[in-house]
Amino acid sequence: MPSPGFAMSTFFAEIDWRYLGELFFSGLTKGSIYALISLGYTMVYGIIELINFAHGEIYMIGAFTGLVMAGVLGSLGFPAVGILILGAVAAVVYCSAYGYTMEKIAYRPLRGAQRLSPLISAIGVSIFLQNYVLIAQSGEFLRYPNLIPDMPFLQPISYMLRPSSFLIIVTSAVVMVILTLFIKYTRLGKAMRATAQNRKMAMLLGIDADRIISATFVIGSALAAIGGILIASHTQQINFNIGFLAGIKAFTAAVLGGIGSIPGAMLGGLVLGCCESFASGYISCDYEDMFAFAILILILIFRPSGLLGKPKSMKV
Amino acid sequence: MRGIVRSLLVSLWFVFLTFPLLVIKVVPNTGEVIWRWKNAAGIGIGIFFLSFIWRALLVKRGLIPQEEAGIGRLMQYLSTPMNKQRVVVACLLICGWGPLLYTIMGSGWSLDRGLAPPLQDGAFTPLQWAVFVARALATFWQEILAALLSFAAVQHAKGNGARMMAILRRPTQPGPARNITIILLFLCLLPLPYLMKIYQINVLIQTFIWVMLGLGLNIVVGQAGLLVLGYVAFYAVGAYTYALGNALLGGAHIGFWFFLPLGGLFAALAGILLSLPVLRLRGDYLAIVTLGFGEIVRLILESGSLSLLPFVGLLPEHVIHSLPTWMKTPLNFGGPAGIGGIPPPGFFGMRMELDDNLRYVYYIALAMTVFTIIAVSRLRDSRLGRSWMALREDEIACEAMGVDKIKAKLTAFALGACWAGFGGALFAAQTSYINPTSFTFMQSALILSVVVLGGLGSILGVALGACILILLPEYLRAFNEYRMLIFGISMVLMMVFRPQGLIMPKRKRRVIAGMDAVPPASAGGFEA
Amino acid sequence: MSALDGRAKLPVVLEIRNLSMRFGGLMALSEVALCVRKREIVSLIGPNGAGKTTLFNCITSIHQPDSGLVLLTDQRGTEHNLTRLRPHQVTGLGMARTFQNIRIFPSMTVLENVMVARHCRTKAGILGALFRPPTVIREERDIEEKSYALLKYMGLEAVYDEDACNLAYGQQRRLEIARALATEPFLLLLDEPAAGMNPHETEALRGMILRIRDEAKLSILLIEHDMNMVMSLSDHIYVMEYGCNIAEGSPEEVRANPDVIQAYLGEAHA
Repeated sequence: MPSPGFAMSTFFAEIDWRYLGELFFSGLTKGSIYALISLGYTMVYGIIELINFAHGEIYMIGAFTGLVMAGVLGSLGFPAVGILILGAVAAVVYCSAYGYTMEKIAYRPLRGAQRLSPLISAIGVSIFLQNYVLIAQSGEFLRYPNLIPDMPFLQPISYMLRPSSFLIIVTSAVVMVILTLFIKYTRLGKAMRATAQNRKMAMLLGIDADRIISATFVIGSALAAIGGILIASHTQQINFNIGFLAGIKAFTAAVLGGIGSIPGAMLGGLVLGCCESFASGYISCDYEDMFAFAILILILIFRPSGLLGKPKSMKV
Repeated sequence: MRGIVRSLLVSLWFVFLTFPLLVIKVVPNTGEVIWRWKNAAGIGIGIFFLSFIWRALLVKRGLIPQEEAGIGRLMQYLSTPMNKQRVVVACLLICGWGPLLYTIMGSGWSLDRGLAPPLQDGAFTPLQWAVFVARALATFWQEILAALLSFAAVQHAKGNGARMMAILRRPTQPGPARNITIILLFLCLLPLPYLMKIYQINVLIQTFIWVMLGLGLNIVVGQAGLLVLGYVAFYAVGAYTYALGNALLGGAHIGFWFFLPLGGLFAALAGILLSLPVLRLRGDYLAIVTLGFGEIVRLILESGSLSLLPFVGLLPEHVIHSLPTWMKTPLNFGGPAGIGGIPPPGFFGMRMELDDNLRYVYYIALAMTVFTIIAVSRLRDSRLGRSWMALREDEIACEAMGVDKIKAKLTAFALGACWAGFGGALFAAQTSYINPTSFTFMQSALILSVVVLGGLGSILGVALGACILILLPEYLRAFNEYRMLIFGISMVLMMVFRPQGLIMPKRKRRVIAGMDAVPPASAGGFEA
Repeated sequence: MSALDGRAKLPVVLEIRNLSMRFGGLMALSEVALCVRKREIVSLIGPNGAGKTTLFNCITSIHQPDSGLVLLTDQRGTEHNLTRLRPHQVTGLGMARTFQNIRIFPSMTVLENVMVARHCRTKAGILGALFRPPTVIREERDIEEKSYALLKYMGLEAVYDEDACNLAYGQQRRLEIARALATEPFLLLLDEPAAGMNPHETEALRGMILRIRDEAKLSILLIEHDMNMVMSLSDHIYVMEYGCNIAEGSPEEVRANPDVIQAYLGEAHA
């Protein structure tokens, strides 16, 4: 048996940088998607303290809308890039509409109810949306067309960064920058922050809290839609229950970063994606999903406020 | 008028919303696009009418002002008792005759459904007659239901609605009426396995298991107020305890009756193990951690095996040699394929036919359900039950009043999980084959919806919830495809319009020895 | 003879030494000292945010103080340090409290609210609940009767079967006291019991507190803003400001103390 010292010295010498790079970029790709979805969780939680269980389904609906649009536009003879862009626009519009409707029907009447009620309602919405898609579309895995154009400039590193990954990373980075600027500088963004801080006070100052909450759901859903359509073009395969696992993982990312914190959700998504990728690459890919849950549990137990969240004090 | 415009807009909105998924369908291989315009029309018309009902209900719950809803005319119509009565009567008749007509038109309904009185050879015993009557009841349940609802409609039209409700409510309140109902119900359940087909017996056993699961979860969620989303993990622990235990040490003397309590015990231990780290967490964080726990359990089961080898391997060589073999062999869960060949429960070593065995499981399940109901109601009315309730209401005050928060939570978790373990062992015995697909998050969500739909904290409600969620879809086969869809909607609707569930938890009526007289506050009735 | 001399003869029930507590950058309590003697009514006054409720929370172990001692001497004369105990253990030793913002169990009945508080004086467990042996049945009946008697004592017997949340404000305050008494304390902590009451109710409450002290033979530590009540009830008064003790003494002494007047009325009036 080799001594531990020997193992350590060879570890760095024999490190497979190509493999490492591959894992890193695959983690970054996944992480970007998690980050996009987890923003919706964190924003909604920040404002009404609800874990919007159905958020993962919105992402799934985004992917399905993209698929349907691709089918229709494809049969009309649109070019691939056009389909991708129009499909993304349609997904964003529809998911925003779903988010808005969902809030209006399942959560707004429950404002001021017991804490459990909206959560159970959210589980109900999640079950409903999954089965709605199952019945309306199909229960099988559906192939997603390859719409992403070749990117010649990626040729030298194509072994670790596919064009779709590149697109995902760049798009989500751009979207997150836009979101940050939006939250920071626009009127609506400021109103959202104020409502998250103290809803009653914000209302007294003339902010229409219901409108802000609706806006939060709409924005969160739009982000999830972008995530949905991106991941669908990446994995090229979708199913009516992809939303559940993605939703849970995105929630994990939100908690990891500190729920309620927007930069936290972004960071949490990336960290979770990379962790998962390295764990499945170096430990065992059987445990990839288990790993996310283990992280979730450990974080909640040891640092419930997350990486960037502030701990809350108890009021007696 | 405004209301109609509004409903029209809402229905247009939903047509728009469901357009891409419900109307368009792309055939996977050919890429052909199918347009299903009928669906859009259906959604449009359906939502147009539903939106009136939705707004009327919201107004009734006081969630939106009546002027805003634009349904003044409708409410005005309903506000005269005469019209209200008409609507109720119409609803009752539709509920009763609707499914019946549906069956008649759909499946070539005929009077002859294999029912013949046992008169053919001239000899008949009272038992045979009883069997005949019971079969007839089971066969014509739709007609009977329609008749009962029509009767109710007639009574309502006559203005006897309130009196009828009082009579209907009586069996749910403590007193002789309730005791008689319970005994009658129990007596009805006894001969069922000899009257029903194998499939139906299986459904009933499943219902009993779900009543147990619901009541177990009710301890944790309804009484102690701890939202657990991974309850199915404990169910899995119970089932796999029996399956694995049987594979490892099963034999002539160690069988179901050994593994049933063991399953409960292991599940309770798993409950304690889970609850130790999560004691500090608040409601929804707790929910997510338990969800994660449930998923981890499922993933372990799917991944196939769990072994101590990584830990054993750390020990020195000679210690490893001296260890018993079971510590060195990985525990095989059978992966996605699961474990089969689980023996049915034994009855003092008697050999039984397959059918008799199922009947035997039915009686065990019935007995366990009765035991569960008694145990759970006793727990609720005990010192422990009160401490759970106090914990649910206000943790800080509860602690300040001398209740050990940690101990109360641990016992709630352990007891709740214990029943899931019993249920799991019973499930394994019933199906003789288990695999991880029976232990997904959806199952957890369904158990939770049993509890929530029935009424958090109410034992009768939870039992009723389990019956509705398991039995109804079985009898409404036509709706099978929509079963989960309907669950989803009803969970939302329930939370919006009746968050307390079908049946409110009842309070124990207390009469105290030194009491002067019946205080005026409680003279009116038992329920507040 | 000064008030202090008369006081010194009674045995100490609760003693707090150098208690400090910090919330982030805020020094909520610094070096607070306090002493309650047997069968005394001791009041704790001070402007809002002076740290009175935080002190209560430290005494009852809801918060863990950063430093200092909370010593409780029980009926048998044994001294316990409360700083590392959990809240229910403190209650078990014989100290009970009420809350400033009422914390009853809203959807339990009034009687059940009190019955919960008998928890630490009873012992039926899981098996007892499942099999209901005669001892457990007797215990349950005993809990019911004692709780009902307490409700009667506090004038709440007519509403015993109501949901606690349906009670009027004053009744809820009385229910909290009944619930605290059900734990059989020898020291009762009342956090602003007269808050939100009209003068008539306050007067009734004053009588009730005196009666409880005399009949249940307890010591009472009281936080209160109603000066009339404090001055007429208290044997001894502690004044806090910004987390520190600023004065103590008999009602007359405190009333005359210039620091207290300044704390309450501000610089200009001093």
